[in-house]
Amino acid sequence: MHLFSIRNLFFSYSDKSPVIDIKELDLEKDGIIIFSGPNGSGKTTLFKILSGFIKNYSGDIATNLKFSSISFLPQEPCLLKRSVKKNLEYGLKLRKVRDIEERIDHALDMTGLSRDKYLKRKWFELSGGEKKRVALAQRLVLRPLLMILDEPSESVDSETKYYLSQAVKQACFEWKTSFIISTHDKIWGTQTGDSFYSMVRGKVFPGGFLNFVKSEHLNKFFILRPERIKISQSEISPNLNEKIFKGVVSSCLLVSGKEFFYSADCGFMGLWVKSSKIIPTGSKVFISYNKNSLELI
Amino acid sequence: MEFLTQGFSEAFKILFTGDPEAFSAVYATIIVSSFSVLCSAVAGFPLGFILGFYNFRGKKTLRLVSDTLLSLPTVFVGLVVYALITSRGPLGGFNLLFTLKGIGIGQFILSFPIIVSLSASAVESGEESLALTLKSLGAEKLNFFLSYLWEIRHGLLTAFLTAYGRILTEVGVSMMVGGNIKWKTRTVTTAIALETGKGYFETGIALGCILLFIALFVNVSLVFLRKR
Repeated sequence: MHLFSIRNLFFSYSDKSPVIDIKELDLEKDGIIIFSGPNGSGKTTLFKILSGFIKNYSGDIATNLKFSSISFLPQEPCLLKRSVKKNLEYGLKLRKVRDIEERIDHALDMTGLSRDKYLKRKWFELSGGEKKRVALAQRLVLRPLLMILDEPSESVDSETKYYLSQAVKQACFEWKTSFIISTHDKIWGTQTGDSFYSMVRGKVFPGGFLNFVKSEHLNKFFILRPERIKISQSEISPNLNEKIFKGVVSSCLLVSGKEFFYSADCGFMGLWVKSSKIIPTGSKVFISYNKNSLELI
Repeated sequence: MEFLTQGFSEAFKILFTGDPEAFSAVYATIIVSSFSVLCSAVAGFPLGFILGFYNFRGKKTLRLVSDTLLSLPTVFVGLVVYALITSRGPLGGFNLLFTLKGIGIGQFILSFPIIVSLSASAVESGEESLALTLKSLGAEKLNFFLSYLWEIRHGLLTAFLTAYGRILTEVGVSMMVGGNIKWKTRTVTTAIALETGKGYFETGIALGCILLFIALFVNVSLVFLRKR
């Protein structure tokens, strides 16, 4: 069963370049779908389209979901200028839900917010991270079928990221709520998500660790798959068709028994590299890829 | 300088002894200004919301007109309203000239663009995520409209107080349309103009102080709304 079946979706804010240009995309139900991609790649616009806030697109989006069963959390969460309690009650009262207190308690538990400490606080008495957690709780109390979260892990500390991740997983498990989440934090995304997509220039590609390389000379974007990049702690001998960079391993993820994903900082860009070698984070490395490995978008 | 100190002591005397003539002017001022600004708020807030929230053809022109009307000269409004409600004017049959209702019409014209323009600005300043949040939580139509207005209440309150301040202190309309009739249409501002013209500076200053007290009272009593 598909959450969304998208065909030939096209959207542009002006008549110039398209913001969304998706030929075919099927998003599966039940689970946490993670979208990543550079700024301006079209994630927020796609989310607004899927949430029903942008309607003047062309193409087909088939779904069984109603607008009221989708809850969207914008990148900059906007709490209502009321107490936390009233923020949480707002949607429930509109939907004439009876077990308001019970739902609020549960949502506060899920997001790691203490009832005694937070419920009476006003919106301006919360920090940025607390606001994000309250905003998530505000949606969780509604128990929607689908929640679309736009960069919830942005500008928050690791504790808040942990609670966000736990709340999402619990809602997915307990109420079978599906999630579509965008994030720049691939490590958080990997720990939270079930399936992964990357987005660039309005196009969606399966897989969460794709590198997007822009050729300034050609003004074109290319995909560079992590498995096609070599990583070595010793110097790589130059080759005509190869590009070589010096970098530093900033993070490492174990994706299967023997495979690692390394995030390598190469100064002007970060690259995800797949390798079976064990390289400690902070190590200076040499990275190379064959120019023929680039796939034009 | 003596008349200044005398003016302030006279103000307190009027306030605490309850001079009937002054209080008649205070009463007329509060009644007519409050009624006018409330009518402007009822009509102006929805229009300001539409102007600030929606995009439609002619929006910029409407906004330009509304913003230009912010600097309407009170005397000009008084003149126009006078021409409309005088016995030879199109609304002459309603006998509104030299009445508080007539002043009210003029003050409505003065305060309406202030409410519309400033509330439209307040709506525009509301983040896009506010609309997304309200809709995402299930607010629709009237609920959405009322909730949105409540969320930008501080901006709307500023619009209301600015409009109230403008008509509370205007002279042109009250003088031309009201005629400054003692016990009937004399407002605090027209009384100040009259007393100063007669050379009674102390009474003028006293009435000015009373006007300030009224403005202070209105602001203080509305401060609790900002805190909520």
